[in-house]
Formats: sequence, C-alpha cells, structure tokens
Amino acid sequence: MIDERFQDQAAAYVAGALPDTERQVFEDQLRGNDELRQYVSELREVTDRFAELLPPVAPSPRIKEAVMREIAPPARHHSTWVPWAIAAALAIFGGAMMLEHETLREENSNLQANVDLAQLELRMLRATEGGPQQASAMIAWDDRAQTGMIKVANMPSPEKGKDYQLWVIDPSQKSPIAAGLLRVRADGVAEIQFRPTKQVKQATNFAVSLESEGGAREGGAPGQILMIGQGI
Amino acid sequence: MSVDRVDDGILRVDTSSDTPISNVVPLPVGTASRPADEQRLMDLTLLQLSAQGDSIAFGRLYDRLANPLLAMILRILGDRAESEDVLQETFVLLWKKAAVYNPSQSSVFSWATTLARGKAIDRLRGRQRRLRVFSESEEPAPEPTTATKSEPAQSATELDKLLAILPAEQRQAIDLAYFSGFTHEEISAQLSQPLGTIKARIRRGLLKLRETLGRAL
Repeated sequence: MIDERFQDQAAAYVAGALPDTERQVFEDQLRGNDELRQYVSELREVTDRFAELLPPVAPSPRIKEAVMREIAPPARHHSTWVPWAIAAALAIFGGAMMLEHETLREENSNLQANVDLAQLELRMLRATEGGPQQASAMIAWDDRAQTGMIKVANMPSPEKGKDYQLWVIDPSQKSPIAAGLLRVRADGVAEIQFRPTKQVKQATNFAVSLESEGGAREGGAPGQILMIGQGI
Repeated sequence: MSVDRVDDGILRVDTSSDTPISNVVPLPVGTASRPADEQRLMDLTLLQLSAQGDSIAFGRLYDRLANPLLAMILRILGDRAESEDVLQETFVLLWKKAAVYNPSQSSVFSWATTLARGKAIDRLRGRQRRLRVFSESEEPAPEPTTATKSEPAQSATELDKLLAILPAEQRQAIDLAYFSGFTHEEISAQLSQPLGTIKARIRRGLLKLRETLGRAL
C-alpha cells in the first residue's frame, strides 16, 4: 500500500505540478518502486485521455513538411530490421518484452527481409467470431517486392490433420491468393516470410484460414477464415 | 473492395469498389479507442522504426499523433500559430529521442503527450516571464496568460464535460497544474490554500476522473 504522501506526490507528478527538483527526486523513487510506478501509470491513464477528449485539430500541411525536412537525412529505404521491430512489438504486446527482445535480436539474421519501407504496409489481423480470440497477428507487406512477413502470437496449434494457411486478398483475382502455411511453435507463435503464389496487383487485406493438412489446393478457395486484417 | 463478415467461416469479397490499402491506413486518430492495444502496438512499431532512422515510419506516426497533440497544445497556449510551432518542436524532439523511449514506462502516445505538454508549458512560462518584464518596465504588455489566447471560444468539449464532474476546487487545481503549468506551490500561493490541500485536491480529482473514465469504458 502506497502511503498518502507518495500518492499525493504521484498525482502532482502526473498532473505536472511538481517543481523540477522534486520531479527528479520522484523519478528516482519511481525507478525502484514497482507499486508506485503502477500507481503513476494508472493515474496517467487519466491525463492521457485529456488530449483524446479534445476535438482533434489538424495542423496545416506545412508543419509536417517542416518536420520531415528537419529530420533529414531521408529514410533508409532498405532495411533488414523491420521484422525485428514488428516481432518485438508483438512481444511487448504479449508481455514478454525484454527476454524476447534479446532472442529476436539474435534471430534477426534469420528473419531478414528485403523490405522497402516506402512500400511497406502494416496490418493487424484479428480473430473472426469462430477464430482463436486470444490470438493476434501483424503483417508487413511490401507490394513492390511482392513479399511480406507475418507474426502470429497466442495461436493454438491446429488440430491433427489441419494446417493454418495465409491468404492475400486481391480484388483483381477471383479468389484470394495463397501465401503459405503457418507452423505454430510450442509457445503459440508462428512467423513466416511469405511470397504469394501469384502476382499481387493490390493487396487490400490478408486472412488466415484453417485447411486440411498441406493447405488448400492450388487455385482453391480458403476454408474457414480464423483471422482477418484490420486497417491500422 | 471490402471483405464482409466471415461469421460462417466463408470469406466474401466485394469487389464493387477499389479501396487501396493506403486509403485504409491509418485509422482516424483522436478517437475514444486510442488506448486500445492495436493502437499502442502500431504506435510502438512505428516509433521503433523511427528510432532506426526510418522517416517514412515517422511520417506515419506523425499522421497518427499530430491531431490530438495539437488539440492539447492549443488548449494550453490558445494561439494557433504558436501551437503549431510547438507541435513541430515536439515531433523533432520525438524523432531525436525515439531511441531512448522506454516502452515499459509509458505508451508512445503517453510519452508523446508528455513531451508535447512540456514544450507547451515551457512556451507558456516564457510568455509569463516576458509579461513580468513588461510589467516591471511599465511597457505596454500583452494580456496576461490565457487572455492572450487568440482562438475563438469553443463550446464545451468532451474534456470540459469530464472535468465538470469534479468539485470546482479540484477542477481548478488540476487545470492550473496540467494546462497552465503551475507547480503545486504556485497554486497554493495563488489560491491562498495550504500546500497539502492543493496536493490532496489534485489527487482526489485525478482519482475521481479515473473512476469515471473506468466506468465509461
């Protein structure tokens, strides 16, 4: 139980009412006090909402232009760490941040993808009503390179004789395009780099289905859809 | 194109309209669902990309955060042009500090809000210092603090409605601290109330707001 004095300090800290010297002292205390940090985090949920409860105000376009000019040099277009960033984010999502970070750094060489960030689209996938509700997934898709990466977390293993299959939705095609099978590890994680079986003109969504072992036949339609992409 | 509901496990694809993925991304910002895990995850991913020098990811992060941040800065400063300056400074700072962001301490949105508020309060204090100088030199001075705000008065926002649930003294203490940048000692002096009273008002006010927001979720 946090005593009232600390509760007052925490509230003043969150409200921005601590003078600089007191704020520094309080931040030192925060580092070594999980309970106090949790209390601050809970109070901060309130002040975080302040900005959200105001009508959003769109800045003039020149502000973004000025920011982007100021942060030059320009982007590194070809990156090999994007999968790490996505996977690390998912790891944080799953609450296993630090340990997973180190593991993912080590795995980076295995996860390398030639992803052009100018083309990169990111998508969250969510379970459908019949899908695994606890599962989450993120996809990075590089349209120009026609390749992508998916990482799924908290995914149950498929029943015997079944496989999960990834699909790319392209309105120029009659059926979704198969993009590979997902093998779920013991920790509930599945991750693959994928390249769809056909040229994708416009990837408007992604889905994961449950199929018979080995996946749907070439050119076939997906089976039961378990996860589907959300705009993000 | 859209993908219809898939309750029965069958994927129905409507190709009657072509909606490129770039028109789907990003979701509107500043909505009540911002703290949702998906939002946090995307903000975090984009910031991590930014920390590695990816300005395209940073541009996306800007698109997601700029509107609510500008709303808050404008609430503090009142002046549109000055607020946009502060917004620009905030994003440059976010870019520079992206590599030291610690996700175990706060969400990206919370962190960005803290930086934006800090910048805005610094600007406000600079304005107040100038006022004092004007006052001491007996030169014509701008109108004090919030009266310098040039934006027209707006109708009550959702934030105003939320704060209205608080007793006036708690609302005033939080408002003076968070949006006017006064320390608890300054608020104590300004309101001629003991320091402990001001601290307790802030704490009780925040707890009451948290309880109300928790019920609303």
